[in-house]
Amino acid sequence: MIDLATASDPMLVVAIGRWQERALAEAYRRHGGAVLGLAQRLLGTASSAEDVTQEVFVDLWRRPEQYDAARGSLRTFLLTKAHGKAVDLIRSESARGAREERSARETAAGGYEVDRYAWDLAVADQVRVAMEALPDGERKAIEMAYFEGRTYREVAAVLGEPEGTVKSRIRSGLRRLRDGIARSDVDERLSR
Amino acid sequence: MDHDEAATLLGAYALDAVDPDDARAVEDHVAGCPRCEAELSAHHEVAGLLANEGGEAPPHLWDRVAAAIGPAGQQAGKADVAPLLRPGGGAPAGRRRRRPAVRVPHPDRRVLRGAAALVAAAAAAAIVVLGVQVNHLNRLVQQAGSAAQELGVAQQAQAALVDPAAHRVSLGAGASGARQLAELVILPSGTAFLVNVHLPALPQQQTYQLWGRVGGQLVSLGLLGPAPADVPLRVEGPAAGFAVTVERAGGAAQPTHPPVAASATFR
Repeated sequence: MIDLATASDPMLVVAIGRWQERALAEAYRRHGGAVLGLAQRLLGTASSAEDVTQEVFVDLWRRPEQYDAARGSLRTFLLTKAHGKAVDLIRSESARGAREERSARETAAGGYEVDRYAWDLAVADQVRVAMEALPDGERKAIEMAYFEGRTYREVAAVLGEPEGTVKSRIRSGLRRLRDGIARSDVDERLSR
Repeated sequence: MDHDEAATLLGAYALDAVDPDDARAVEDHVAGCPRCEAELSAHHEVAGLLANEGGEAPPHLWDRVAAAIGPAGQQAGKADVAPLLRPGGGAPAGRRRRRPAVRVPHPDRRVLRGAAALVAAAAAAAIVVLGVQVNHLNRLVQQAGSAAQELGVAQQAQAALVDPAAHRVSLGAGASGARQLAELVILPSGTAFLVNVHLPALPQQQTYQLWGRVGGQLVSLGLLGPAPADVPLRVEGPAAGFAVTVERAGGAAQPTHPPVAASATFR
């Protein structure tokens, strides 16, 4: 018997494709918290974040073939889905009020929020270091686009920058982040 | 939209920060441009790390997911979203029969190294701060090394091949079955692997399907896809023979064609 607790994510998705509900439960156990966390961060309200999370896992159940292991990890796939759904909600009229409230709260709290769990914190720490190393313009553009669900045009309007500049800053910032994470100190120690 | 224009939008697209019209144009371009597709995957991966806040998956939300996928899901969700495998698993109505294509991933080495570093950093932090939390480590390793994960199928299949307790069944072509097209390795636990597969690739609209004969009945043991390599399977109960047929992509309830390969006990 394949032990789902130790099965790889791609194996889980194969099992989901064979209607093994416990494989979906295991995928939820592994990634549900991260998906919900992202949705909450974007949407600010628990109920719509839960709606998004539910949709993401129901979609995985109905269409597991959409996940292609060659393109990245299952968590990235699920987070990408969740982000898209959350952004759709943000851009709909009904969520406008919640978004403004959330933005205000975030501004009050300020800075890049420290994560709740040690493991994810360690990952987030590396990402935070890489984020802090970004030029201000790139970091701001990425944060506003990704965590506030704004289009690059909206970001440009808010910052009073040309659209083309914001567009390229997001792209170059993401590349720089990738390099920053890949070249972290720990990584160098590891490869010696 | 031409290549240069699409390429400048890839970062914003990966963050869902483009208008719907631009999004469609980017998607159209990326579908035919491997370079942009690779860059977009990389951006998505970075975005995934940005959002990686983790946290517990609340059980009450699983109950909602389970309710949404039907009665079978509600059953699976009991026992605290426990990672237990229930043999078989019912097929809820309304869900099309299919098998997802899981390809061998080829992630960027640098990012894998980065991910390995993250795992190491995470390990160090937790030992100092919280002690070892195996669950969380598993989760991080899961997300870090999808390449290693996929290797797992082949490795498990290889391990099964050398397991002295494994039962090996040759699936051959022709009346005598002399030409072996695949081999089924069945472990006492019921876990099985189809290995040494030499079945020619089929068009996407078709799939190979494996059958077992149990008490005079043919039972589907799974869809193998149009171009199977090592395939993990479950073989329940005392099957008295095995056969592989070519079926339409969704699979069939009973074989609609004669076997392309079968065990000696099937013939």
